[in-house]
Amino acid sequence: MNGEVGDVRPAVSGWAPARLERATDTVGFEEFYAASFRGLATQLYVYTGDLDLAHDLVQEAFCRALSRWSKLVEYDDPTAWVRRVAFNLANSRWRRAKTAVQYLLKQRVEHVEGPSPDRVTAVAALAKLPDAQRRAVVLHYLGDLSVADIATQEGVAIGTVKSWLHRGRAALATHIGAEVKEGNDV
Amino acid sequence: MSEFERDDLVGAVLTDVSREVSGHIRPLGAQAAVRTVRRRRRQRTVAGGVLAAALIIAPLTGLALANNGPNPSPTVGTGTSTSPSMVDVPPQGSPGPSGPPASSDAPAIPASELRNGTLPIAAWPTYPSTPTRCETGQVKFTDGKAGSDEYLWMEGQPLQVDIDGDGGKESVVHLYCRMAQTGYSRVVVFDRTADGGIRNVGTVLTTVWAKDDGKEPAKIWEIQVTDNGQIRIDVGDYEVCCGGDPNLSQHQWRTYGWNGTGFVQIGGPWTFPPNLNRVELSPTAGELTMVRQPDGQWRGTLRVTVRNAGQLRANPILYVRLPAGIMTASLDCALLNGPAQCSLPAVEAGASTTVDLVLTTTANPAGQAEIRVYDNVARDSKEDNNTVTVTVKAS
Repeated sequence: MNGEVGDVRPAVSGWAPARLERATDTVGFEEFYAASFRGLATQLYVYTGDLDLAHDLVQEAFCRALSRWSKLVEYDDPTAWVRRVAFNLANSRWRRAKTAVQYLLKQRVEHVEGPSPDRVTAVAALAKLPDAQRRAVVLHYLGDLSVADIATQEGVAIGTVKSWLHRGRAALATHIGAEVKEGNDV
Repeated sequence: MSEFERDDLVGAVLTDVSREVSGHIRPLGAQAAVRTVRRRRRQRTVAGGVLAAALIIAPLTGLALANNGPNPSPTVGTGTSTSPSMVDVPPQGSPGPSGPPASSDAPAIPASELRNGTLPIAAWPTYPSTPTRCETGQVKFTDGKAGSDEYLWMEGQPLQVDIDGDGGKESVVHLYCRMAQTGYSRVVVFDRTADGGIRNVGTVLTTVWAKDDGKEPAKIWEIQVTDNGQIRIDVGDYEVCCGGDPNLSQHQWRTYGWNGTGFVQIGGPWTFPPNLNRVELSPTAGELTMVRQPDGQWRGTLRVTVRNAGQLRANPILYVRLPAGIMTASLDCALLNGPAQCSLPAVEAGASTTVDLVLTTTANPAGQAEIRVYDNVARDSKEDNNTVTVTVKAS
């Protein structure tokens, strides 16, 4: 008596499993991710010089944000938390070692189509900055963080940040100016 | 170059770089983060030891595990607390030295944990005359059995399937709740909670018991899961008890899926066809006249004919409820709290059998006798003609 007989209705067409509602409250997370990822990834790229790594770092930071989203969503600026995590990840001891090596290696590799000469120049110039100065420059110019905010994130005095920015600007101007001059000389 | 000129220069350069790079940013997506977090929770819970060992060999693509501590200040773990893969989607570029990232089909709850864990069990159906003794609520299982009296247990091993297509696998468990000589079968899905516990996602199917409507399954033969998250169940229209041939039940594959709020049938038949493996018993009885005997007793003979109109050989049992004081002297009958229960010879399909029940009493025998016939094992395809009433006369 085996066999599928009886009242056989058509199978539910186009059925697809629905997502389980998780205990984790993720309300608003997708919107937050969509609004913040690109800007943060750009900052991390400029800081590390590695587009793949920037993607990974920011994605990881968002994963951590999701793990504590119910608390984070109440923060005034959740993006600041994610950015700080992403930079901390980039600065962690083993990551820093890897980043330093990869930073130089990546300069010889095209990760995206057709990097402009200006971008190559800028990234090469940034690579020559000490980490702290590079971080301060990125946070200030790309993250729109004030000196005070950078000082808070970095856990240093405001004067220290000012010093980093001053030295970083000077070094970048020199490197970029030299690159431009060399380019013009050719 | 003044400080202001440097500021303008650096700002302009970085803005240009940012604008150019922004077009090459490819967010992996919030759902990828959800999958990663979920996978890590599972891994932390079910494979912490193994994971810890693997983490020491942190691949270059790895990063620290999520920090779930109470400190709101974000921190970064050291190299010994990294996961094999930061995200559970392929990274851009070649995989690291440890190979491709971990598969998104993270391990489900191990079978041993389910069979020896405390599981949330939904209430069982109620049946008026036979209250269930199966546990509900948070029920502790030991080797797949619940409680000391073992009214509730797991059938077979749990299956794992990704019911909601998110890359993680849930566990499909077949529970059996014993009721008399058969019982309820239930297919239920369990999943991890955020804190590593076990939660009841929902019931896929609970069979009916002592009910035969030709629609609801009364037996579960087999459970399968599919790659697309569906649960296929080979169901039967009734569960044969008492040593009968289990194959008297029919088979049907019905398919179920998760719709966001519960499990619904999404394929296969909704009802059973007529089951030809059934008896169709009906009794007829002649008049019953109790005659006063010289010793003062009353004696009479009740002739009962049982016809089997079904297509299956029957093993009929007569259930005879007599007026108070009347007893049967027939050898094949036994008193059952007043009524007599009499086993009859087998009746082939389409055949009949007749028995004479010798009855005695010392009291006035007037009243009604009710004779009901049923099969010892097989279902009766027509249960509204199984009873006949006889008026008992005295002379």
